[in-house]
Amino acid sequence: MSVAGPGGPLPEQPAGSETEGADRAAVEGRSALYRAVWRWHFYIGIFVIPVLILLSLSGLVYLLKPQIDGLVYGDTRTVQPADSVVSYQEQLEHVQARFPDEPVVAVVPPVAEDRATEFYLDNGGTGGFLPAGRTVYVDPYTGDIVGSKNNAFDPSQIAVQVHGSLISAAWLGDEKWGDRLVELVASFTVLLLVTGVFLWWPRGRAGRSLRGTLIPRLDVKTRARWRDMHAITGIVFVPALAFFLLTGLAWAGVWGPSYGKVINAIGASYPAEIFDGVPSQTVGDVNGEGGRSWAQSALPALPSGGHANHSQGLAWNAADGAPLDAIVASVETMGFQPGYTIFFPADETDSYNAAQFPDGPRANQSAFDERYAYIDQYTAEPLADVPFSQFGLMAKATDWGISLHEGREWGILSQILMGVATLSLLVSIGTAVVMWVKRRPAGLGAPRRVYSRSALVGLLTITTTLGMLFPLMGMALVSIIVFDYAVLRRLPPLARALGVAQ
Amino acid sequence: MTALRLLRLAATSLAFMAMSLGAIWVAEQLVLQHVSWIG
Repeated sequence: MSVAGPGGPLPEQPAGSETEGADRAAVEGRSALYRAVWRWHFYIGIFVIPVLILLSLSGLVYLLKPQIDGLVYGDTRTVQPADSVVSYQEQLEHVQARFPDEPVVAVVPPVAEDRATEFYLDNGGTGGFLPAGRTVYVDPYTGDIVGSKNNAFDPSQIAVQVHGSLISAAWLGDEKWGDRLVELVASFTVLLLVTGVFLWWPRGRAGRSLRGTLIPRLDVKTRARWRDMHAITGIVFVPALAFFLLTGLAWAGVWGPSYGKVINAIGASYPAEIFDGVPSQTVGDVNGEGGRSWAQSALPALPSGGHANHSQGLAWNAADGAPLDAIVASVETMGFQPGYTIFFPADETDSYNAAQFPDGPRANQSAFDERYAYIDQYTAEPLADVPFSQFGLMAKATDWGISLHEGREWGILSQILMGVATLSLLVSIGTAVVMWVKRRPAGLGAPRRVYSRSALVGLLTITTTLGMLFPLMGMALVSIIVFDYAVLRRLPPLARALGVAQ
Repeated sequence: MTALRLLRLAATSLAFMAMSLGAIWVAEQLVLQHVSWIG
């Protein structure tokens, strides 16, 4: 067996070579470490590749969400502009009348003159295999419902569920298991990148040549061509892939909350309103002494031209709750531009929450324009306004990272960048499999176990460090050691099947 | 033959995944539900 590294094929090393002379031991120690790292790289690859393929493909679908939405729902959500509009409250009532058992949880005012108003409903996850809601499109000029979709069958919703939890709620009864598996795979992929960089690292005389180091040797007909394509594609995109992994881990069930605690502890997190919301007044407050039973909020005309008459002449009994038009007027008076979502209060003390975020209704907004406002559900008065500039440093970095991860931050440019990085990952995976096939191994073809103290120390250093940074992987590494000692040594057939028998 | 070998590779990969799901379940019961600073 030999390894075609940039420094030329590395010779097969006999086990126990560290017992020979000092110089030879140094050389062979490095080579043993190389082969030990290769063995880890191989096993991690086998473990993570299927999930990485699913993450890449679902990520590509979600990356293209703006374009896919345009293709799939373009006709449904496009309306013919007219001179007059129907009030939001009336549109809401039409939706409630059509879907009486599905509470409205959010509304997206039209993002352009020829776009429908979108209402999000909680349909209890029925009608599909995903716990998703329904979107109802209403023509703001006629008040007619022009279409609706069950989000359980929405391509980008399915993609995001695959990406986050492998839809394990459907096949394991809880999305937690898929989320944990994705986190474990992401953590091990960090180790895969670290070991990959180690294996690629230029060594020796040939390592000083760009060919085989940064330029793939496509003219050779050996396995080295595939090795170059695999390694160099991986190396060029290591920063992008590491970025994917680290920003993606912010969503993960174990690493994400731990990260959140750390940035909270150092005072670099989100403002409290983002976590806790802001309460409205109570009915007692608005009815009580000094309160206003009637709200005539002197709402100014909306800045969004054609929809200006939504707010004119608005008056309401505050105890009954503000009409939706008053809420929209209040939000737009604060300076929100179309492309925001208004989430409805969850109970009688909650407030409306207007949210503008990169992955929102208007495609590809920057994280720097992110903003959250809270509106009293009875008086329609603004309660709090939290723009991106008030976020803590790490919260800013996180949201910017997520926006870039999703390909939203720089519009089409970030979509192209993230798309190419994802394709590079698929190329690296494909060429890894081709290399394995070309090696024509008997059985699993795992690189041989290496018995070397220096290799053991080197690997333990890498894995212990990463195991502490990524606790789920740390626990998995401990499990692997226990499994090796407690099970594999007692079950030689299983050890042979997994390629770990010597 | 290559198809068979690839099939075996895929089966091994799925076996690793199944084992890791089992390990995650055990970790969840033994550690994650009891150690608040992890997750």
